[in-house]
Amino acid sequence: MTQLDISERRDGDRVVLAVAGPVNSYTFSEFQEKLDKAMARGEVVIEMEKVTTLSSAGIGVIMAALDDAEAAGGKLSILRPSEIARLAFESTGFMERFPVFQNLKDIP
Amino acid sequence: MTLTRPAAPPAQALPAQAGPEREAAPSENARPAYPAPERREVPRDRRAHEASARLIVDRPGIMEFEAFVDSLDFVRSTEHARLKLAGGEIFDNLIRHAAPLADDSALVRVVRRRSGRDLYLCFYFKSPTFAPYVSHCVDHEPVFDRRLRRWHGMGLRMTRNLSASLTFRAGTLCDRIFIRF
Repeated sequence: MTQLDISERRDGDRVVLAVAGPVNSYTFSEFQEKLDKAMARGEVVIEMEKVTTLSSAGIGVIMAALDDAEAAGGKLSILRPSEIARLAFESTGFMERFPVFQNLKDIP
Repeated sequence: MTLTRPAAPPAQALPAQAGPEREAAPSENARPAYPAPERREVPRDRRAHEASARLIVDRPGIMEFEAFVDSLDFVRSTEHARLKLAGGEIFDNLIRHAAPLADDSALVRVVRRRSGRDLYLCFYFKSPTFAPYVSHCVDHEPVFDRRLRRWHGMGLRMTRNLSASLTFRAGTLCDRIFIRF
């Protein structure tokens, strides 16, 4: 059974969270915990090219983090979403609310 | 697919065809969240491929549902994603709103018609709470609960946007949810 794997690296002042595996209602609390910790340290990029599923619970975590970042003057970006993650974002009907980028250097 | 947890009975225990139907009562002035079924289940002789698994409906069960979808060799890669996302939302709905479930489980079935076009994902389960929940559940815009940090209604919207139709049928022997892709 595939498990969620989240690793962290720095890119200048940014924290890049590389997420691999399923982000669903079984794993989203782990995703939320790691994202919250990273957000407390500044600008965050969520790399999602190895995400194997993304449920509404996972999208809720990202939405809450986006709101928090906006309110605190911070920043959250999504990097290279996998095909299924992109489909999940699109299926919400709010695709334009997610700051999605294909390359790290494209993030302003 | 083999279950590793002991509580679930074999797939044959739950009949595919239920007995007399009862329709979920529609709420006034609102589209029901799960509309009444538009069509009958695909007759057996018109099915080209079929796979089923009985899964325990709890949080770890979501991982087993995803592994079941991944194991389907008659599903195209683009369909895998839709099955996993839409089915995962329904599975999550059952966890939160269908307890207590008979045998704590649901039969999940994926069927492709012989024509090769339509793909169906079906959930069969017995719950005293899900039909009443659906009858009071109206189709509204998703609302984000900041306190809980989660959406209400987003799973349903995602499922609708990922599928061609979503229907619920309550029955005396079992309740059924059909998703057509």
